Amino acid sequence: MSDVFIIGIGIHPFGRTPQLSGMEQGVVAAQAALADAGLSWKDVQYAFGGSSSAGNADTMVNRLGLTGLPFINVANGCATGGSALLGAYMALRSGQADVAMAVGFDKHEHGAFVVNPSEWGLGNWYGEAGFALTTQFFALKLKRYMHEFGITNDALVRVAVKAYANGALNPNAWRRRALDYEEIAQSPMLNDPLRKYMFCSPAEGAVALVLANAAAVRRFGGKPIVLRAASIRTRNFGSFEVFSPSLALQRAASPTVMASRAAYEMAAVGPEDVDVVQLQDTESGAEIMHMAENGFCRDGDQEALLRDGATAIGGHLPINTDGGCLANGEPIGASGLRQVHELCLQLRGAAGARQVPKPPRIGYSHVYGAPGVSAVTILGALS
Amino acid sequence: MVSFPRQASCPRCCGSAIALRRLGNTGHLWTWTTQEFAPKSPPYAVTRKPGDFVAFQLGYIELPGEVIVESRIVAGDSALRIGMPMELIFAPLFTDSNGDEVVCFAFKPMGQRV
Repeated sequence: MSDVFIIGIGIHPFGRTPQLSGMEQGVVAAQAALADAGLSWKDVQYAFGGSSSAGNADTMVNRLGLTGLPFINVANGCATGGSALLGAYMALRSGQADVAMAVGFDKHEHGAFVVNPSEWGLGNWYGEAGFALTTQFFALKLKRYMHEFGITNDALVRVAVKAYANGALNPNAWRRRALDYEEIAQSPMLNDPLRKYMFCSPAEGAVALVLANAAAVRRFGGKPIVLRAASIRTRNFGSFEVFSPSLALQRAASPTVMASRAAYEMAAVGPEDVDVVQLQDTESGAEIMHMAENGFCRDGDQEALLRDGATAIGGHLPINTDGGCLANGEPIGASGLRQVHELCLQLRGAAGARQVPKPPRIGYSHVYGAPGVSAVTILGALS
Repeated sequence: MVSFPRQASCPRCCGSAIALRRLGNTGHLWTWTTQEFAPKSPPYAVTRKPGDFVAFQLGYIELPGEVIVESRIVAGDSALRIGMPMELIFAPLFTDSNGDEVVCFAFKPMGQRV
């Protein structure tokens, strides 16, 4: 039996924590995950972890314990957490370990990310001319999407209203004040059509997960959630991605579409089977586009779904129940694992005030980031 | 298969039989947005005192039969709309340390005075 289970979850609250480094927040999350699983660090046989701006994850062994375990540093942009999880998943599936950890943390300075074009295979001219901003990409993709599929500004506001309302119910979220419709709709324009409160902000936080195979679950017990699929995909020729000086004339399926299809196939489920969803919401339009790219609706149906509250916690397609990136901020190394942490809480029925009312059986998470990488996981409650 | 900027291999088939070509000067607007907060510098070459930032427009221009190019847009008083015809210009970007004006390729709505 090669099933993989998540048996422990830990989080350091997202937001701003001036007294702790990003890595120290990672240690807090790792120790919380171990405590949740009822294990100690010496039980962990393999670890994968990373951050974008807060140092080498394997250095955490100074604090967690020098046990000699293999610890792989992961640096894969917005898919860092998802990649760490995939590494742990493969270590367990391949029989390299019975218990593994995936950990992600980060700590970013205020304001938009600083991009060095040469790190992304681009000439310096790209940054000098004012193109090296991820926020522009989301606005450009969204403007085209709205034109093609009839999405309006109203839908953008509704995504943000929902995010902050959910964040207000989440003790680990950064933005814990619900914002009303007008406050969002009147906030300053940053990249037309996207306004200030429709964007997430770079921030801080950490999440760790303890994973185990069936033998270890029998030995340690705990509260296992089945990791039914974990997939990562990069760009196809013709997809429209961040930091593209040019695009082909014909569009191709995005990394999200490809990662999503692969994950559904691995898990042997379809979008209609999913009960609770976490999607990359770098800005409110991203959540809208990703609803369709992950198979949860047809292009253009988002407008009505949002107006009807379908994606709220009490709706039939609850999305970003913990407030998503909009309410939690974006610590790059931690965001993907935050989504999985939230799904585990939801599937355990332990999400408190933001618990999805109908007990969920299948959870779905998705991240997307530069330069065009997407990671998807599908989780299941034990039957 | 046309790509921009030039590179040493084909992004579709990985082949290395590459030839330079001169792209067309006209096309139509495929998508656009605005930049309404000051990009951090570096990498942005235009440095001004906080508060003196001048917002700008950018987008993707479809050059028929060739490629879709990301570009600065200088629209003057025209309202941008997807599909409108556009033409190539050069727009001043900044003055370098030698006092030379550095320009950037840009597109403007066809016939627009800028």
